[in-house]
Amino acid sequence: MRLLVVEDDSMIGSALQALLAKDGHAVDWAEDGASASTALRTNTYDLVVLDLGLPRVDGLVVLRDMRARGDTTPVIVATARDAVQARISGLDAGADDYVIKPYDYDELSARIRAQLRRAHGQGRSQYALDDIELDLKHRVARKAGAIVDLTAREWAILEPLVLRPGSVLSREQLEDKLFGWGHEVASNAVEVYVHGIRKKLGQQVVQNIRGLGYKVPECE
Amino acid sequence: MTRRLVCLLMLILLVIATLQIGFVYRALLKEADEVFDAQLKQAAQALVLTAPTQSTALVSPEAGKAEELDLLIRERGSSGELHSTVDGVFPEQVPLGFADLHTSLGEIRVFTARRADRDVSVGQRLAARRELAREIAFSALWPLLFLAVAGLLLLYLIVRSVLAPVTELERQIGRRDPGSLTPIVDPGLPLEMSPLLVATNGLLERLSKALEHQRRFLADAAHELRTPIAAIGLQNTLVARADSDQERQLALEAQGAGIRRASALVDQLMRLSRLETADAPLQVAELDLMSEILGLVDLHRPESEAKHISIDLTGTAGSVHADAGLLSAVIGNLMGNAVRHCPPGSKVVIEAAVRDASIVVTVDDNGPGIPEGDLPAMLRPFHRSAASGTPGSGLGLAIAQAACERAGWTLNLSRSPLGGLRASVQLGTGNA
Repeated sequence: MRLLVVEDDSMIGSALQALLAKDGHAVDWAEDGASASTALRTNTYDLVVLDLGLPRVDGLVVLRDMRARGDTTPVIVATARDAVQARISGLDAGADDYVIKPYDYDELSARIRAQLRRAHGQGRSQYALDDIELDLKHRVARKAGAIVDLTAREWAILEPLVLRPGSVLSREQLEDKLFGWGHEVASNAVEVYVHGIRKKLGQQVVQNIRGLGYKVPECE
Repeated sequence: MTRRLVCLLMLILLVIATLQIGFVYRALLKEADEVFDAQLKQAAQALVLTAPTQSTALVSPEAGKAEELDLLIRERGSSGELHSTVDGVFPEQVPLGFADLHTSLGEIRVFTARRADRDVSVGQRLAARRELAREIAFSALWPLLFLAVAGLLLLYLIVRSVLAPVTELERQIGRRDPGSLTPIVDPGLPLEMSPLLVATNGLLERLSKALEHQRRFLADAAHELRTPIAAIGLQNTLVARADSDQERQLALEAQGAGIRRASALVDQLMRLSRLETADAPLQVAELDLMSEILGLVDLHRPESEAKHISIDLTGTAGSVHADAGLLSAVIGNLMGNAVRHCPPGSKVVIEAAVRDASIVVTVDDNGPGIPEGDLPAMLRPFHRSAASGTPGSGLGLAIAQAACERAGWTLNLSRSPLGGLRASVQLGTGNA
């Protein structure tokens, strides 16, 4: 998934970016409100982790701007402002969730997964096809009952497809989920990861729709 | 308090009234005695002038009977014959002048006058005299007694009404919530007591301000620690999830930096808190200002050289009487602030000069500066300029300000002619 982290603290920003990337997300990091707004206007993100106390433009302003533009990207506010009033105004401004610093990374990560599932119109994180079972929440893949190891990148390809079984995502859209800014994207990166997934789980999981992109079949 | 005061005043009044009544009573008795004596003497002297044997008939036509206060008269002729208004009362011989005699009628007071061998004695019963004197005295003292009782009552009422606001104040303070620092309402205290209440309310206000300041400081400090601790938490997760030794090494280094940042913040918080609540005396010594500043410039050299920021020092000021710790807290923080917030390649100029008999140290930079409107707020703890892109603890200027307040110096922020921020400290008078 492609995420935007808006955080003015360089230590938190870099650590968060690294951790989310390890979870297979493509992460962009904006250090102030102005560049966050620019990033949100020029890219499509699956989710935004937004700090409120930002230099130049406050996070709440960024959030209100987004919602005013009709941008419904899920936003998790992650801030040190813990007053009830601050939480209320954060949620009222259009935040989908609110975590208070210092937070546990695993909790943030779980909240991100929950928001991503909800945004993709599916409360479930389970997928089953033939003898294949995928558990997005725990990132466990099974084939014929045996656990199959998938890399973070392979999960990053699978996740958006599995969240909307049957719908087609283009190669560019999938590339977006894989890489943040400044990454040199090899032209065949998506094909390489799809190949890896098919080798581990079987040909039928990720289907290639020629000229359009990829999809996973709907269950049942 | 009211009861004690009333009791004490009443006791005093009672003692005074009793003493006064006693003295008046005795004086009245004495006066009455003298009047009676004068009466006896006058009567005797008048009767001795009358014709012989007429005296007894003149005074008391009913010889032999005597009312309580009637004059008892005896005449003794030159040949020794006796005439008396009462029989068998007077002894044979009565001394001339006043005499107290024991007789069958009890004690009597007698005055005897003599003229040509004729004695006339006029007597009066002492018991009756005293009785009358007492009656006179009592009738004179009744109003006094009444006044004393009325005075006591009046005194009680006055004291109670005058002290009622004090009693009310006492009740009000007694009912207060121990944590409440709201001013005490004046229940209409007497003029003499209002200053006490005003002073007490002033103290309460200062206390409440100090407490509010502490509360805000604590809340702010806890809030400020959230960010560095959040960073350490994430960095720690990153260490735990490192896939290679190299990655772990990098993550550990980042975590070390995070911990150093948090402890630097705690350090600054402690310093600020100590400055704001300091009770240790200042250690003022004669310092060479230029060499003190040079030492601070050296301290900031690693940071300034890394950003290629030049620090120039000019000035003429010689020695200054100051606390070395406070001086370095002020100048060091201003210098550090300039170096931290200026972009690489900037210029910081420090000038120490004598202006109007006081030493002024000015720190100028050509960095981004602070918008005019933000300047006053910058001296408050945890306040960062919204325009600042550089993260800082928000404590540097607050520490400098607190140190200035402690030392009695004044810190001013303004626009620098170099384009950035100018911070100037007036160190008070020194020996230039």
